[in-house]
Amino acid sequence: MASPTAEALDRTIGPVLVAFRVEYEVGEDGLAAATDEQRQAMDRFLAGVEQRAYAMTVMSIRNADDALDVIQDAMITLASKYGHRPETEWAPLFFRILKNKTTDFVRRRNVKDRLFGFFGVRDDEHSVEGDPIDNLKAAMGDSPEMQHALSGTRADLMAALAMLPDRQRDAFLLREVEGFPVADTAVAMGCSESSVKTHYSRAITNLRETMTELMDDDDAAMKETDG
Amino acid sequence: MTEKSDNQLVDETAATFKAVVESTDEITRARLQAARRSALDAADRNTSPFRWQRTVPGAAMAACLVVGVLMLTPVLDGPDPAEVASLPLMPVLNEDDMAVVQDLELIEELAFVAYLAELDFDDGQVL
Repeated sequence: MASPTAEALDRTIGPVLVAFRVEYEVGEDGLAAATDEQRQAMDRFLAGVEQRAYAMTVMSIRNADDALDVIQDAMITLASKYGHRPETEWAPLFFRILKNKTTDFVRRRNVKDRLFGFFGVRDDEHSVEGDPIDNLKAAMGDSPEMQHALSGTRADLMAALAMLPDRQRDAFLLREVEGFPVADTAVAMGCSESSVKTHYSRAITNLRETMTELMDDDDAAMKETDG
Repeated sequence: MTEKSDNQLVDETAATFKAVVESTDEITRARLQAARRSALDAADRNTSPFRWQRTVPGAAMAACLVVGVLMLTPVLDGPDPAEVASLPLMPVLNEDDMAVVQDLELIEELAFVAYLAELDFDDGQVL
């Protein structure tokens, strides 16, 4: 038999405990209650976007292992900090995180290269030199399917794409491959919508110029071979 | 190339990029899948509502450590020199204290005798 004091205490504290329990089980962002469902949705989203994101990152970083690390970091950040956001926001957020992490990585690598270069030590494992197509094949696999995908003019197209400045390439790929509208592309790139349009326009101009040069080189090489 | 319109160039480039992505080999796909699973596991740990179960004990231990260091600081610093200077050089014992000391000396002697009694002198052991 509980004492009157204990009953009064139960009446006072009981609702508070119940409220705390509900708040605790649901969590601030509904994470605890929706963990499995949210995890599956996040898994589906990342599975759908990871290969394209990887290819984009390889073009920027030009190293397969480093690109994989950066992708994984971006995935962790998206899932742990922005998982409670609506699914429609995940794509631009993910590419924004990925771009920021890529930029951070490239900056750190440049500092390291300068430092090691000063001491005369060269980090060959993370060297960024080489043909962009070779880098892409090394990162994505040099399978027969890949050789077919990069045969003829398509190799020149990918080379021209890889040679674009990062911002222009990002604008082009986010708009044309990811299908982002200008507003989402601006969110993903962290710039204004007018900047996105400018980068996109310059990307197409540069693509055309680079393609013309590459095809002229190919023609000259073929004439030399025939001659 | 020059006769191609911008739209054709854009479409061909995007199609080529997609074809390259779809041609990703199985090893790379598996590595990406492993990275994704690992990232989701790490994110689960970061967002777990039970994270406080690791955080709170850690914070409590850190707080105890800080308090302990603060409490020990005067001990580690040693006694106050002024306080030491004010102490008498020789301890002064009153009669009660002296009686206790004498009792302890008696107990010590008795213990020593008991110790001698337990020794086996027949084995030639000498103190």
